[in-house]
Amino acid sequence: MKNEFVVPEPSFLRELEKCKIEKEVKRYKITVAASMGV
Amino acid sequence: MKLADFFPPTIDGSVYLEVTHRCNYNCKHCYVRSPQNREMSLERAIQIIDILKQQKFRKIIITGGEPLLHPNIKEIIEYVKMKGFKLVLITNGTLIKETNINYKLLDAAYVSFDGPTEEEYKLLRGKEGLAKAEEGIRHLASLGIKVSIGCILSKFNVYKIHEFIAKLKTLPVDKITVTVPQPFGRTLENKDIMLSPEEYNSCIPIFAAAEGIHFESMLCYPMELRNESEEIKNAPLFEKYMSGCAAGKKFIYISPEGLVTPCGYVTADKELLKLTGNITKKSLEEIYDTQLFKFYMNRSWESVTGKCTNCDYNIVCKGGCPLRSHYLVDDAKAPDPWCRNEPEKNEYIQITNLKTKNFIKTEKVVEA
Repeated sequence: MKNEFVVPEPSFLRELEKCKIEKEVKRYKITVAASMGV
Repeated sequence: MKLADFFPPTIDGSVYLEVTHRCNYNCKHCYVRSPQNREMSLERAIQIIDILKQQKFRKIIITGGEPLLHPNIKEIIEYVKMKGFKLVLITNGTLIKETNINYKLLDAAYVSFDGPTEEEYKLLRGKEGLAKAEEGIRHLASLGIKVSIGCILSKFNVYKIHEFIAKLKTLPVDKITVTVPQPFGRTLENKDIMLSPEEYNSCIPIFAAAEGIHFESMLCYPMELRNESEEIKNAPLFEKYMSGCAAGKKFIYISPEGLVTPCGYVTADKELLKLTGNITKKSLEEIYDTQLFKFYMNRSWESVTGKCTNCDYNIVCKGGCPLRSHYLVDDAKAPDPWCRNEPEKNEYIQITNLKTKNFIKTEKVVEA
């Protein structure tokens, strides 16, 4: 089971990290908050 | 940087809090394997709720077992609301009228309703209770609570599907969700109650024609989900990544002992529980770095295997449910064994005449 529940870290993580992640997360949070009526 | 640094499950702010695994029923499909004597003490519940507040979670979904059996459920509900959380109660509904709780504190309730008659209810749940559940639903609705109901479609009632739909339409509820027994928990000893993927597929057009009833879609079969896949292919990277299974990305579960899991279906599996941590002993940051969370957080279109690597829908589906693969084919990374698409031959399940609004994805969190 040990290896069964292991997958490599996604390669796009670096892309997320260096470019639009902050902007994307912010936009996502706003969308979620709006849908929850927060 | 770790993924958890920028998208911890707090991003949706939802937590499923399993306050007890005791239950007044013994359902053949229970993923928790209730009844069990696992219960969260009031002190532990308060400790956990305080941590969740510090971590900026926004919604607590109280579940079980049957949470109304918890001796301090009144205090837990009041504390959750005092802390300013949105609150949803998941219950079988049979104890609602006899439990002294201020139900008006609830933002929503989700009640199980496995009909259409007491006969099928008893076959699935061990004893009768459909009338009591209906009474509970009507009581909550009369108080102005938003009530959603969840129905199981199994071998016991699938042949009465039209009668069941007619019954469901008589209930005063906001949302009706129909799903099927999954190969987790006690269903693993009762696999004969499960519908086959082919039977599941054959139910889709029937629910597609039923107004106001949502059929919980397990896979990318209905066209709406496929269209969504097309849209998501062009979405920003983060949204693309967050689509599909929400386990460990948008919500977490907490067991009566405080063990945090990405998905509730893990909660009855002692081996899988060893791969995560306890919120009363470790920080959430440490727990997000455990093997189970990293597995769920790292799943993407890049981690799919086998036929999924060539599939048009792997952006959203990401290989389907890893636990179905784990329990049915003994490999969590294998393509979901329920999927009947054959992407290598460009053969995808085609279902026509759908009212796509009737379909929801299994990964969506309970809406308050």
